[in-house]
Amino acid sequence: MNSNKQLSDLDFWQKKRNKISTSIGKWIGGDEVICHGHLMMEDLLGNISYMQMLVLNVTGRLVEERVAKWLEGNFIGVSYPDARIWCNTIGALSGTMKTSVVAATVTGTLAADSRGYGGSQTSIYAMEFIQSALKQKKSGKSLKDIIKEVNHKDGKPIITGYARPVSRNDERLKPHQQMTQKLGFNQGEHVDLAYKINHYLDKNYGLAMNVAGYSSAFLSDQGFSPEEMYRIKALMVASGVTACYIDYAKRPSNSFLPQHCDDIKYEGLTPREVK
Amino acid sequence: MKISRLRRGVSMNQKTDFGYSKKTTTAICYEKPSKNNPFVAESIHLFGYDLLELTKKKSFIEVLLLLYTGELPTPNSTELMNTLMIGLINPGPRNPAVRAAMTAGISKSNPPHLLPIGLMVLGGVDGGAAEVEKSMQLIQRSFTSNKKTLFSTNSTNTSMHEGDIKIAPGFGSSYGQKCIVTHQLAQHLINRPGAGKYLHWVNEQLLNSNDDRVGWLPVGLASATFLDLGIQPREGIALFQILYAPGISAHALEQTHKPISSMPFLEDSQYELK
Repeated sequence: MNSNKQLSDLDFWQKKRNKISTSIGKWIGGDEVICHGHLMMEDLLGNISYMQMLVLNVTGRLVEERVAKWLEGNFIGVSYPDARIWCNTIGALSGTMKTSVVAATVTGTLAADSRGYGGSQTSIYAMEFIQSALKQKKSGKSLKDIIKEVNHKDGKPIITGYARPVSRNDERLKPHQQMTQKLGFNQGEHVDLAYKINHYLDKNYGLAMNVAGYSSAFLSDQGFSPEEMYRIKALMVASGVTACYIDYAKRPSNSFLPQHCDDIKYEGLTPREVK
Repeated sequence: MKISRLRRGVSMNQKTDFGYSKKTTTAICYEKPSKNNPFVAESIHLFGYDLLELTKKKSFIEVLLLLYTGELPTPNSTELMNTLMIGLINPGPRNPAVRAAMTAGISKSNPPHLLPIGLMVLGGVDGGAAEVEKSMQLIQRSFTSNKKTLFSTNSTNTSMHEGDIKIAPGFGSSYGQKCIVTHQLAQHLINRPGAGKYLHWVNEQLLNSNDDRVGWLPVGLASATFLDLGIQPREGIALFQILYAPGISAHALEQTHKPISSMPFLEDSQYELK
């Protein structure tokens, strides 16, 4: 391989050396900031909410104020200042080690990047389900067949957003439904289907829709993709984590749930000699 | 009124079967409580071995492998791990995880944040720790299913693809060609007495590849070595982060001693808004 051929092979990288080429925005020092085609200082600052700004930076779209207001309510709904919740436990443990508030907040937030809870990553699974279910429904498939095709455990379907036993109340669901009405949204086709799925699962499996199921359907009706919502909700739990951090940062060391040695159950090998 | 009622209210664990364990469990570490203070341990055992005895008789790498496999390694396995750890100790100042930590260092981030910043960036699926799990799973699966070919995708099909070619997690090209240093390290590892069936088999697969632009990448090399050491794919994620950690933190800390202006900051002419 001669040196000229090498250079042409490397063109893809050579063009990017010491150069950023982008369409998202640019800081023009001392003057303005262009942000997805908008002027940040002249048009955005003071005129839109922080949530609108966040959605703009994630999607490139400036959503209407009430959509941002709804999302803000959704964020409030996972900002529990209760240190028993896993991400908040990490905030409290950071407090007890006197970590910086930023480290505490981001580590707790990182913990909530979970397939099990947290509202960000879980949005992907819940939104993928409802968006796929609607497509299947429109192509003529029955609810029974749609549900039959999802993974099951112990004879019950496993669907993010519909895992709640009917007997257990989800305190977030009704306020979200009320918020939708208060902000003047009509019921969209994803939410409509979500209620039908809720009814079917209740009748056949004793399962009910939780706030993740409802939110995912509502946000699908607003035109968001699952990946966009994961990105928008990346920092969703942050303020609850910060609250738990602050609570313990001001207390003496080891104040958060101190443990006896035997509070940890050892289930490993008995003592053995190092050879 | 409502708040004071709720303070005394029935909690969710009283309403239904809470379903959570009363104690955290582990098979790794036993802390024997002191007779006088149940919060203080008087001895610590790792997988049954007394910690102090380990400090007297074993090396750091042997105890590291104990933590991740549950057993102390053989001398050959220890030597293999030692070779890999030195080989990957510093991915270099151009690696994205190292660059991230260096950028934080030069911009005066809190020093304790530097290593976690690099490790978080290293968590990715493209050259990062999350790719190690995928790579290990693929190697394991391909090897056990009658040793079918590891690289099912013909890399020549991807010749129109911009940027580097990835023929499988952990294997591909580096800036359009084989990663030279990783190949040198791979040949050295394969010749170690501790090298096992996975390193040898993957190497054979690469030798049979019809595309001379692709080969071992650090993730693939770490993955095959971890499998030969009896490490599970999920544990491989963390071990890969540990292997890169010294290089990430050393480079980042070096930058903290310099003025912020000693790293390039692109000028407007180098920034194109399309």
